[in-house]
Amino acid sequence: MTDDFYELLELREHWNNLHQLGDHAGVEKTLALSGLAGKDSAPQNLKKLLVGIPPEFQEKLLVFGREWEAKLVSLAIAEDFSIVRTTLSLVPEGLETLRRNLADRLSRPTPWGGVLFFENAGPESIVDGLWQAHAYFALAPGRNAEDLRLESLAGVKNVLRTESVIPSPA
Amino acid sequence: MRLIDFLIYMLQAHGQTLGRLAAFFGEERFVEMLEEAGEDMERSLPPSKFAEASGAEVIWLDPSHPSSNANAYTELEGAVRDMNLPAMLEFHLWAYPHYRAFIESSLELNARIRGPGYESGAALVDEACLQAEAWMKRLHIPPSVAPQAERAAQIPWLRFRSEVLKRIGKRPLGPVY
Repeated sequence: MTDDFYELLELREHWNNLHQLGDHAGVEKTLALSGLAGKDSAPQNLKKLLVGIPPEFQEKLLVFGREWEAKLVSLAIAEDFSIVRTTLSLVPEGLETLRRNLADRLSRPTPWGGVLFFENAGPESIVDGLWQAHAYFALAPGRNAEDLRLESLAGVKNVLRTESVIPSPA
Repeated sequence: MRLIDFLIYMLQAHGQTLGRLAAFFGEERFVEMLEEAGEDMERSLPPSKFAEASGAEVIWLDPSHPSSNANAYTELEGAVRDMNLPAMLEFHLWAYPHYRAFIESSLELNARIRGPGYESGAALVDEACLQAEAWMKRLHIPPSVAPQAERAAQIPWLRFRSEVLKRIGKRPLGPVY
């Protein structure tokens, strides 16, 4: 079981890849190394990792399918990262490419954060063919959302707002 | 994906494993452990059914791509150099038995591993991961620290598994969000 944010981030990437490839042995190994195998990923156990974080955000992390992100947030907080939310206007079909580009940007020249997840930015999330989405990130101490230069990434039409969900104590 | 690319991924995974274990035990102690395991390591590891195949048995390489070993060694040496391992660890990297089984075989290093639709690529990856586990078990690791050391050694091989399967072209089922 890992207690390193970047290691867990890498494991999530391998898990996604191996899951897509239908490699069950690899998926199981990844879960075991991440500490998300079996009952470790049960909501009551994940909830214990998220003690002290704003209840609204905790609720988002405890939905089915966000086990990796729940654990990532717990490690990010332990390492004094900040959690930010940006509201973006996106080309919906470019999401996968955008995720990859963001992950790449956050890893250079040395890792300084990670993408957590995207969600609809409200009940009317498609406006004129564009997806209004909230993107959540964990950023290393001393870094902020402006460093991401989101507006320069393919698929991003507009950066509407940036808010701090959990500030870094550092 | 060519056999040489597969071997480069294998050496990168093993090189990262050596680096991680050297950081865990301390380089001097770890080199002693490697030397203690030494010949026993080479003798007792299971044989590779892929590296030992010959002639018509080599159904996992694509015969439709004519190939030679030209430049393959240069690529391999460049990849190892880029790892920047300390000299003693680099020595042990080149001695990795599963790698040696391939490099000393008659297989053509530039030949392509069969891609989507063939199970041989996944089996090749499975064999490499099992060999890595077997190698790890041959090190005389004190039981008190074995779980942490094994864990440190597993991550490079998971990366190997994920990246090689992707490159071999196992057909994706669809994205996971």
